[in-house]
Amino acid sequence: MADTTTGFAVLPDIGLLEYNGATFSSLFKTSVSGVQVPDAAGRTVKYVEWTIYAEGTVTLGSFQPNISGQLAVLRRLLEQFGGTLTYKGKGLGNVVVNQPGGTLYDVAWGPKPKLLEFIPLGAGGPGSAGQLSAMVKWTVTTCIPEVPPQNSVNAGPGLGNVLQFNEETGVSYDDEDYSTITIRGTLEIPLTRYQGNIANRNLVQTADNYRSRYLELVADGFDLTRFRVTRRNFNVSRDKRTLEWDFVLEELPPMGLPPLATHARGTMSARSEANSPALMPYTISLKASYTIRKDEGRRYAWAAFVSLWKFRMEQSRNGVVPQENKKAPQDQQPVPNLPGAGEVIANPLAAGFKATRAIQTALLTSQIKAVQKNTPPPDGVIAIPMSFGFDEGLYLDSKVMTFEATWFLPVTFTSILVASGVWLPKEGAIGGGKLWASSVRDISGAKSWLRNALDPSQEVIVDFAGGQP
Amino acid sequence: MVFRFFQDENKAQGITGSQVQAGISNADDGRIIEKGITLPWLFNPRYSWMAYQCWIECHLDSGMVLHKPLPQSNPEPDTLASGFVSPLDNDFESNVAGVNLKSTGNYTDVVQRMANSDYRFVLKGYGMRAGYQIPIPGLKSVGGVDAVPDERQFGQNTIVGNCSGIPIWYAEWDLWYFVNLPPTKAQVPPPNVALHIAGDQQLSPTIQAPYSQPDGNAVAAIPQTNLGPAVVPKP
Repeated sequence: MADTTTGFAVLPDIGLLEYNGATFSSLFKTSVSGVQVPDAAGRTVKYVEWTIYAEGTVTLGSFQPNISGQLAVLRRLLEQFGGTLTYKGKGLGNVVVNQPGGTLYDVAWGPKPKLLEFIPLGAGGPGSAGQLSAMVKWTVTTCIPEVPPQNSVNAGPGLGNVLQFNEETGVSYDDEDYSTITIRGTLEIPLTRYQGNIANRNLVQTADNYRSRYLELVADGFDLTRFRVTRRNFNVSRDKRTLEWDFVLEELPPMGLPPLATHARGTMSARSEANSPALMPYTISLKASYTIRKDEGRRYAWAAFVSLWKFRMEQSRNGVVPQENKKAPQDQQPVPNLPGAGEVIANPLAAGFKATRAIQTALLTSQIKAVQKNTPPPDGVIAIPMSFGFDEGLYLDSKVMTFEATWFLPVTFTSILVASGVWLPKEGAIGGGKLWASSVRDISGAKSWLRNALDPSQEVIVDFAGGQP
Repeated sequence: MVFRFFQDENKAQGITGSQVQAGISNADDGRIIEKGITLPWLFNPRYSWMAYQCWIECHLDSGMVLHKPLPQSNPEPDTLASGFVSPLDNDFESNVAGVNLKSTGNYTDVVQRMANSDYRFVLKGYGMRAGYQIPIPGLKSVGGVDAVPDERQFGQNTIVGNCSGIPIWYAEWDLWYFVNLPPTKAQVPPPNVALHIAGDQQLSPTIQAPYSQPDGNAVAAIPQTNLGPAVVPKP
C-alpha cells in the first residue's frame, strides 16, 4: 500500500494538516486567510470562507524506490471536493471540517481544493527510479459559519437550517395609479456531502425543501383583499443550495373576483333602443369570462355568472316605468327611494358545492349557509332575459368559461343607472373581498394546486471527468 | 435513465391511500344545484310590453270627379322624363331638371262634385309582449265623431318566442272604420305602450340626467384619508 503521508517527520510534530486522508508531515508550512462572506443584503456574515495555503515536502516513503506512487495517491486525495479537513495546532484552534459524525461541516459543498502544485526537489534516483522528493503547494478553501449551526430536522447533524433569508421589495404605480408590489429574495441553505461522507453522492434535501416553510410566511403577509398575486418564481440553483424567489402582486380593482376564480374579466353594457331615436327601453348585456382554479369545479364559473346576472337584473326594481295616461313630463316622475342594492345574492349555487373538499375557510362556509335558502326575485322587477349563451374553451383554452346574457329593461332614461345595478355590488359576483382571498390563499404563496416539489432523491453528484474512473 | 426532478404530487403533499391525484381532480358531489335559482321576468302585465306600434291611417274620398273631354288636337305625348338613359344622353350627368311636369297639351277638363266627402280610417299596428297576449286595439271615435267599423277587420296573435316557458306574443291588426258625420277635430295618435308614452305627452324643456347610486365600495361618511407626508416612527 502506498504511503499516504508526505514523509516521516524530522521536526517535532506540532500541529496537524490533513485532508481527505492525506496527512502533511511536519515538513510543511501554512498560511490561513479568512474572508467574511456577506449575505445578499450585505448586512451580516453568512459564513467565513477560510483559505489554507500549505507548502510541504514529499519525501521518500518506507521501502519505496521513488515518490511516484505517493504523488499519485496524494493527487487523488487532495483534488477531491468535500473531504475531511483537519487543521490543528496552528493557532486557529482545532478545526475539523466534514468529519463523519462531527459537528462542523462545510456549508457550500466544500472543502474545495483549489491549487495543487508539485515541485521536484534535487536529482532523481538512480537509473529510472524516479523522483525521490518534491515540494507540494496546495490550497484548500472551506466555508464554515462562525456560529455553530443548529441541527436541521431534515438534514444530517451539523447541517444548519438556513444560511440566509432576505428580500428586496419594490412598489410601482402604473398610469392608472394602481400599485404593483414586487418582493424578491434569497433563501440559502448549507449543503455538503451528507454527514461528511465523501463517498455519498446523494442529497437528502435541497433549498426547495424550505420553500413552503419560509415563503408561506411571506405569503401570509399578503393582503389579498387588496392585491392578487400575479407572478411567482422559485428558482433553485444548480448546487441546490440557493432558492431565488420573487412575488409580484397587483392591486385589485374595485370589483373583487368571485371565489375560486384565478382570473375573471367581463363587461356589462346598456344600450337604448337602437332602431329609433329613443332613450328607452334598454337592452343590458352581460358578458364575463372566468378561470377557476384547476382543483375546483368549473361549475363555479357558472355560479359566479348567474349570481351576478340575477343580482343585476333584480336591480331593475329601482327603475321607473312611466304611465301613458299621466301627462306630467316623464323626467319629472320621481325615482323612488333607492332600496339599496339589497342582499347580495351571494351564491345560492355555492350551496351545492358544500360537499366539495374543504378548501374554503369558515368564512366561505358561513356564506354558503346563508344563501342556501331559496331566493326568489323581489317584487317589482321589470326585466326579462332576452338571450343567453356561453363559450367553453376547448383543449388549451379549457381553462376559460365565458357566459353572456342580455335582458330587456323598459325603464326611463332617468332611472337607468339605478335600475341596471351599475357598479354594484361591492364584492363582485359572489363574495370577493375576504371570501375570494380565503378561497385562493393556499395557491397564492409558495405553491399551487400542484406543489411541484423538487425531489432530492433524484439528485446525484456525477463526476464525468474530475473523479475516479 | 429517466430524470424525474419533481416529486409525485401525492407524495409531495403527503397524501396516501387516495385514488385522487393531488392537484388534478376536483371534488363535486354531482348534485343538481340550480334548483330554486330563479331569474326575474316582466311578470307585471303593465311592464310586459316589449315592442308596440299603433297608428291611424286616414283615407279621404273628397266626392269630386274629373271628366275628360275628347282631345281637340294631337300634341306630343307627355312624359315625366327630363333626360334619357337609353340611349344615354351625353349631358345626362350634368342634367339638373328633375321631374318633367311641363305638358305639351292645351286643354281644360271638367270637375264635378258627385258626393259628400268620404272619410275612411285604418287602425294599424303590431306589438310584442312577454307572457301575455296583445289586446287588439279599436276606435270608438275618431276626429271627434263616432267611428263605425268597416267591413275589413283583421287582427291576429301569434307566438314568436319561447323565453323558457314564457311565450313571447306578436300581434298585428288592420282595422277599417268610416264615419257618417264630418270629423270635427284632429285625432291624437294612439299611445305607445311599449315606450310608455302618449301623443299628448306634456313636454319638459329639459331632460333630467340619470340618477346614480353610491359605488359599492362607498360608505356613508367621509373616509379618513392620509395622503400627507409619511409618519416616520421614532426609533
